[in-house]
Amino acid sequence: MLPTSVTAQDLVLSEAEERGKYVYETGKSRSRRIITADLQRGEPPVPAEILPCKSCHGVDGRGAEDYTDVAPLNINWYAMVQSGPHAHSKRSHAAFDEASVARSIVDGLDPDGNSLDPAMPRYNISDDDMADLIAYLKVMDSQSDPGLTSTSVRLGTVLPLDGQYAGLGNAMREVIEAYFSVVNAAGGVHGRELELVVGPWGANDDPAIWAARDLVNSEQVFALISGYVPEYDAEFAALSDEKKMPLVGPYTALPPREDDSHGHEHEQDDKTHYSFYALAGLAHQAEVLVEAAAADHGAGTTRLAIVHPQVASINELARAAEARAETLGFKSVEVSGYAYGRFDSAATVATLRASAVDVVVFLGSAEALVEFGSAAANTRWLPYVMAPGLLAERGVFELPKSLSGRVLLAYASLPTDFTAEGTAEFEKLHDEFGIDYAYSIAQISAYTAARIMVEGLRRADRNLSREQLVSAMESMDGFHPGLVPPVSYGPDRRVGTLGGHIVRADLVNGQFEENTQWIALDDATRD
Amino acid sequence: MFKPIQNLLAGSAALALMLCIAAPADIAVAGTTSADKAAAEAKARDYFTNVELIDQDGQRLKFYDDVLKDNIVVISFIFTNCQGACPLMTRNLTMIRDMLPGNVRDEIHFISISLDPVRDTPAAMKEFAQTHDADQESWLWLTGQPDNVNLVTKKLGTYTDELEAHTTMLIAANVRESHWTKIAPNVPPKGVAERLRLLVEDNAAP
Repeated sequence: MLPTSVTAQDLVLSEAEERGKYVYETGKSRSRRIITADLQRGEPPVPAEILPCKSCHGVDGRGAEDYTDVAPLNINWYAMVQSGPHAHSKRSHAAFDEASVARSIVDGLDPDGNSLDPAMPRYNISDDDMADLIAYLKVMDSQSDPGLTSTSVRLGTVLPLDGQYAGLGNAMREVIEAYFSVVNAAGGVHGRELELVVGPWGANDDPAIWAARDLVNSEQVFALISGYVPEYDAEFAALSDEKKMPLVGPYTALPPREDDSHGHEHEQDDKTHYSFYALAGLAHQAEVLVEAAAADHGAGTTRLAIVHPQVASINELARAAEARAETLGFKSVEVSGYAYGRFDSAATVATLRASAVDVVVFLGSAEALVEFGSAAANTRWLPYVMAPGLLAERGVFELPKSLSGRVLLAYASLPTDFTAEGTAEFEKLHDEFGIDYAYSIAQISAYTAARIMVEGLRRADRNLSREQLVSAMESMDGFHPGLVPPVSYGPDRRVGTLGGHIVRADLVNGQFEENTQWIALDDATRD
Repeated sequence: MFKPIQNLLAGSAALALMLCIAAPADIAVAGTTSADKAAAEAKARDYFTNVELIDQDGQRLKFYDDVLKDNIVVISFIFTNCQGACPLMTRNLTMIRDMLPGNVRDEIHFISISLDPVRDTPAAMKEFAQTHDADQESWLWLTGQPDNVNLVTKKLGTYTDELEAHTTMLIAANVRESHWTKIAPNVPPKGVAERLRLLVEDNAAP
């Protein structure tokens, strides 16, 4: 199902910008002053209309990559003035400013005085026309991205509004819409109202990713926010890369693991440039558990085992845990995979017990965890058992009491992360917009995504472009979205909260202990 | 305390356990008597199945009964993000369509099946068809649930994991006569047109 019709962009140019656009696209001046281009030293100049800026740099100023000999560069203002160094194949230079852009057009020199490629003509242009041209260059990039008008920015999301997951999808939609209403009531972001367009799925069996594709292909959204496309998380991220459309805060437990310096090669396309995840995923939690084991027991004296079902997504968790364990230098690391759905708890216990394992990182289902814990307790073997909360929580209090104090879970986020401000606002959204608290985890995810997106848009300036939003997102360092830990991004970082909380289960009283511990995975906080 | 998010991983597990489907059997069955034909049809339906596919207009079709049964078909395999052979192949097919005599063309059902159902939404298929002047009633652009589409391409022997290396083979058939042929990519359009004419003549034969 396609979202409703595409509306024309109505970004209104000022008169100067309009005149500049004419220069850019035609090589002519509205004032009828002649603009000429020098193609080669000593040759007579030619009229610039033969080689207007647009002919090489494109209508959107993004240049081109497929020219055989020369590569007309991206001349979007934001790209040019971004702090340097700007490295090209034959030269590198500091950031441009207005004066150096003008000089590059007239004299063919970059800000450091290097000559531009001879394919770039040197233009003879009046100061007035240059001023107009520069005025246009500054807004050109916001012209080119769809979903953006002078008064609105349209953000897309992909949610199940019908079918099995309709409750969850609608709960997420309501929260985002409510938050956008609050932001809009306060004047929007840089004078633009936020609009949400939903690519709906769930009314039939069609793959959820189709809703995302159709939404993105409709070319009416500027960027993507949140969204729930189970089974297709990787495709969703790949889609945002393919369309160069930022995606902020998709609802998934499986963000890519990118801070991976531990030798396990990832496929190239695991790296996504345009997707910004809010929370660390399950693989990160597996690593958090391994870090916690090392911190609590000392890696050098501890025998660690990693138990997991052999399923593609979970294998990835096990690999992450193993790689982290190898780096930390445990006394021994044993990885025990079992066929999905056929966990033999007695055999696993016997094997691990025989090798005197101290800590078990358990990555199976809650049911398998309970079987494992019971089998271990039956043989009076009491290892520490650590598991991602997302997988294990349902079963944890069914574990034998003899394991009490030895069962630890990792969570990407806990209610202890709530700030007073975040809690108040979240409650206010529910009260004012009549949203109930069903699917609160999904709602928190949606709210978090909305807050991060709005923060990104605020950090970008009014001359918004997708590239600029990416840069603005990358500048986020310790931004607190209210209900989850502070998020940080950077040029090589796409997961906002790299770490997890460790929570100890009190099996005797059937509750979690009050004290929790945050374990960070990012290098900044790791020594 | 946070509640676990159930089912979040269920899909991935299901994917991992996705059944491998056997390589296609020999699908050419010769039938002469009407009893043979009925048996052949039952066998063909059984083989190809009535798995659901979706055309470029969002219509849901049973693969055997709605797409193949009693028809003369020419089947090609494409994906809309294809940078290589698909646009060329599709243009060849439109050339073939245009050079067929009217009475032959009216009998032919063109069918293009997606090899990349995850990305090829019905809307994407329609756009591709329109771009190639091939969005018409007698030309089905089929995609669907990835499992369903992959089942069909496996049955036809054209399933691939590597899209860029996909087949440019055409499959042409007079389904009622159980007459199936493969047409190599290097056969010129005129040759393909002739093959199609012969398939149509099958029907006229006594």
